[in-house]
Amino acid sequence: MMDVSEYRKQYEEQLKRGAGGQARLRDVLDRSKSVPERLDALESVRGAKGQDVVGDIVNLVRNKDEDLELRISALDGVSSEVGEHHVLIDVTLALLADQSEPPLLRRAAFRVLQQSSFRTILFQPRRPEYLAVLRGVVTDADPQLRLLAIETLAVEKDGEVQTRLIEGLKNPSVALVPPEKAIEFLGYDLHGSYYPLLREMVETSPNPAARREAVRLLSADATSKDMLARLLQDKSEDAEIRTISATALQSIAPAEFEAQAKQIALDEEEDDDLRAVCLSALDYFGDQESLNRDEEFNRGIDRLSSRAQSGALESASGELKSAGGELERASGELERAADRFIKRRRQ
Amino acid sequence: MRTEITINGSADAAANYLPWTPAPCRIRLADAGGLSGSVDVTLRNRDQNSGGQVVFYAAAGALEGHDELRLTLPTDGSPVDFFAGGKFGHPSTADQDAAIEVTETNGGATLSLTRLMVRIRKDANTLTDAERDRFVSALATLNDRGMGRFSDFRNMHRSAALDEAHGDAGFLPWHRAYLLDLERELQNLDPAVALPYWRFDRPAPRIFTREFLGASVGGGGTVRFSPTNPLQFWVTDNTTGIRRTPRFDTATQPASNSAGAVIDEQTTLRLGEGQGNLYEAFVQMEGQPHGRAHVSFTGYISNAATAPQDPLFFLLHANVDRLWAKWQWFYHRFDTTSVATYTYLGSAEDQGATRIGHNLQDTMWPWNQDTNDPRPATAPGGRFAASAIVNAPGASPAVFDMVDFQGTLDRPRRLGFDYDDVPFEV
Repeated sequence: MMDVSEYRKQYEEQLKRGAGGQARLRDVLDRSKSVPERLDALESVRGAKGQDVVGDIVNLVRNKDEDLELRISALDGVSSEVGEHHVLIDVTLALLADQSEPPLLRRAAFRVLQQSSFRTILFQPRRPEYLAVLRGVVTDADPQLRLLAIETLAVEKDGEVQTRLIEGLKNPSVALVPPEKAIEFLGYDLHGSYYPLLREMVETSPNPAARREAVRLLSADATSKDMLARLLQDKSEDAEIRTISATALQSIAPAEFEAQAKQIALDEEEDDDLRAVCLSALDYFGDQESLNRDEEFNRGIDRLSSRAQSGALESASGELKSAGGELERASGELERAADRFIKRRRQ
Repeated sequence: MRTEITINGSADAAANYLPWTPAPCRIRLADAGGLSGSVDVTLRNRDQNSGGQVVFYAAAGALEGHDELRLTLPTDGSPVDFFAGGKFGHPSTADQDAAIEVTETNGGATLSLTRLMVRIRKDANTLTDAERDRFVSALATLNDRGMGRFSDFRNMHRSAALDEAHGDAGFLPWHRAYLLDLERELQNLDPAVALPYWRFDRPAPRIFTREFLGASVGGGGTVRFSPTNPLQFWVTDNTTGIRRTPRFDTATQPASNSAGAVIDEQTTLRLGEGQGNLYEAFVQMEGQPHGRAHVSFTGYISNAATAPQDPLFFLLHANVDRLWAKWQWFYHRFDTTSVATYTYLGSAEDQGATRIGHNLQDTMWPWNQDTNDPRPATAPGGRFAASAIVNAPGASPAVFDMVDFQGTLDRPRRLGFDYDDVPFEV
């Protein structure tokens, strides 16, 4: 037995080892010291609370003549206090807005503000300013900041950003972000009015990632049922799009999905992964009574499951070592799905 | 001759789940084999080398558990009370893989075998494949493609309700209640499931995979799953899929972003160092490491209003809760009359109180079903889920009910869960 008092003793030792010494603010601010020395001293003032300490750290963060890594670490060190000291929010917002500041520091400022936004009661009074600064960053020269700002505003259901994302999908020359990202961000506040455009993207876009994201959002659109069924049936279609179509179709037309999924699951010509997806969907969310009644289907699943067992046997004997790829398929996801399908019904 | 054991006050096998915290048990001679007087029996683990292990306590206030317990049972069938809890460091890995064997002390004949599980919340990175699959399966079933009971949990954590749970002292107890309510719903589907936690201050190569919580592939915003993982059917807010892209290498690094890494466990436990290790200082962990862990990704998890759309939310918060539990254990912070344990001891009506819902005596939304201003206008999900193993915290818990989760000072208040690295200690 792990003795609890011994465990406590060991844990005390661990905490002692990491315990900080005296806060060395003077060393942090001493520019005659090397950057590594000052970074080390910064650790000792992490989570500093006093108004004076926070003020000194704020001055360091603001000082453009200071080392960039030191400025980022200093901001990180007081990040827990943002929300409690208005001056810290002011400084962090100003850093994010200031395009003359290095992108790395501005990204850190964004993350610190985002982190602080979780403390809703404290952060709420400053939220309008935060969102206003983010709106200014939507067209920023730094693509990473741009994406972060647009995503945050999309989560906030910002109408202006939504309009610009839609415009970008219709006219790529004015797009703020790649189409797959635009669709993804629109998903944070999905409007029925987006569906025609999303369907058009699925039918005509040459961009597979954008098509995938569009299919994903159409999983709540009953009028897309026929298109989703067609995508699922089309063996020449991108495998992942067919998979997403399967999950989408199951949501909006379960009976239709079930008929198609049963066929696909037993079709030896089909992609094994898609067969496993269909079988898993039926297993978890299909109409269990109708599945249990379908003897032919259950016989087919039994055959797949036996294939898994023979695959495992072959693996154990090592006789098929040279046919590694074949063996992998013989004991892969599809067989696992079949095995689970049977086991869950026996429980 | 035959004995019968009841665990957690019930003869139902559904009650045969133990955390580390000792639970009330009873044993009686169901068949005395014609003897009169009394019979001496010995209780021990059936298999001491594998499966979950149990320790025994002769009385509620006993300081230490033992591998064996000797009791004298009346032959008239009257029950004898004892206590049993999981043996720290020896949790179960499968349902009912532990067993209490009762033998006649003189003679050694086996009188009964009672199967049970030492059910403990574990580091998700260390789960067996079977444990992982059970958890994933239960969670996907609870979500039921966006049409299941999970939608209540999603709705409890939207913009309009965030002040109930964030930015003040109630941050930790509210989320403890939220996780426990969800865990009990999962256990209704599969009693062998315990909520795992994501240790965000360590690399987690086994969590962010296609088989578990999904892998981020090629910078795409939606994670990918293996074809047999039922989380691929995850739907929230009418949208299929889970949007999540880490800003760090999940296999080799702790959670981090451009501002830096999360602070580690030891630093978190020292947040009140030099200031009396008070709750007021510890709860600052809401910013670092909690907030930092959330914003080490883009996607649902990085915004408070969308975070529960990602199952990772519950593993992240289980770790936040574990850190609180460990801080409580280490500094003995269970006494609810002390500001060291909790900052606001009264209720919202008292002088010096903080926002309603964040004072120790306040009931917690939504389980109190209070929709009067300043509470949110709706209260999704109904009352707090009951448990087959404990009575606490009841249908409408107060902040108070979340503090002494092991019943260290008041045994009936135990909540019925424990973490693998936080022992029960009187």
